[in-house]
Amino acid sequence: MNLTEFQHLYDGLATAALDDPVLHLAYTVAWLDPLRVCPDDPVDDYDLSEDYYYGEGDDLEAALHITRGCFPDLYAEAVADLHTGVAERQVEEHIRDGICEQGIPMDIVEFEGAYAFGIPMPACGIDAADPDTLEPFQGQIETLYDLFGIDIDWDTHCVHIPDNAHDVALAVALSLNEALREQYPVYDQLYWLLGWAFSMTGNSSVDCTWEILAEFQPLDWSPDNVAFTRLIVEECDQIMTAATAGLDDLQDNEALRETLTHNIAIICKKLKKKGRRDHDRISEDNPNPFGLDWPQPASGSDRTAELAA
Amino acid sequence: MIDLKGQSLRVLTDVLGDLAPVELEGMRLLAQLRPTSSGLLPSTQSIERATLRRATSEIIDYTGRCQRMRSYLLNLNPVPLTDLIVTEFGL
Repeated sequence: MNLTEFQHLYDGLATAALDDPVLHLAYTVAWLDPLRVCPDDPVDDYDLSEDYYYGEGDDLEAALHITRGCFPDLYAEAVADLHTGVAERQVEEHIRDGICEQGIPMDIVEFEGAYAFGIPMPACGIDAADPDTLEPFQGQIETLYDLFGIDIDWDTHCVHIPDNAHDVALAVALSLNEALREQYPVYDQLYWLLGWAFSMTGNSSVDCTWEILAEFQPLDWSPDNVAFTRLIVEECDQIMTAATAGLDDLQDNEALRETLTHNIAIICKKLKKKGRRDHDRISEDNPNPFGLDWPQPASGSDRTAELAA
Repeated sequence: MIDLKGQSLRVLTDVLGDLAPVELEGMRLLAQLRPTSSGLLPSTQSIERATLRRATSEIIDYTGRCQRMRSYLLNLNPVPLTDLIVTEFGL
């Protein structure tokens, strides 16, 4: 058979395949969704972690499986890139960047096999008892912790935390009610600053340090988990923006520091006098049992508004 | 709606067999570009990325639905026929 005959034969077969609806569909699937017809790793039985466990993990393969299920647009582009001869490493990098753009921080786990660990989540938390986690904020975080009697010795890496520091912080934060925070963004920033600094926001990415977050089983790659993680990350970004602004505010705003100091003193005094834990008193119906007063702040202290502008 | 009352399985098979093939955007694109002897699969370079994304998502969705339907059919629960008397099994 010469080349011309071979080409005729090939064209004839292709025409026949496209004339038959079932073959036409099969051809299309092989073209646009090659993982569906991959003989070794059927998409429904693919086990990401097992492959890596046995040392057979492949980042591109993992990325294709993940995008097929969770980011079909990225999968379509990756398959098209592979068809056009783009290098596998580059395709995998495109996928990584694409996942980042869709709100999942793949850039924080840039190591081989990262996909097998599940959906990555940022860990912005700090631990008052662990100066290593506080170091990036050295020079600022002491301003806040000083007010609660927390003493950090950077030289010896020793921290003294009064027994009631967290309770006082909780009482202060809860007294900053929603209406007050809506009216005065500076108090909203203070609220989130306290939440972050004392790990009590309820958002795992804000509250947990890397060490703590690593103790949790990460979420598996599924569309629902991706949507959930995206919400957590978005909320984390918002909280951290407010908390950072709050930290700057506290640094620059003497009146705010005085108000906070005054309110902390009230709580400490009442706690000492009554000898009860504030948890016993604070409730949803009574979030400000100490009767803390938050006066109208001086203008120009709203860092979030400035940042937004 | 197909009235199955009194129809044999053969008729049902014929009815399903006569259904028009599904029209998927990916199949239309493949027919339009046609595989050539220079490559088993046609190049996707000439297709707009948005169209390609849509077509791929549609194929993934369609084959996924087919796969799920196949699983359902393989695990169908028995259907009790209360109005059918089979005398051979009277005991």
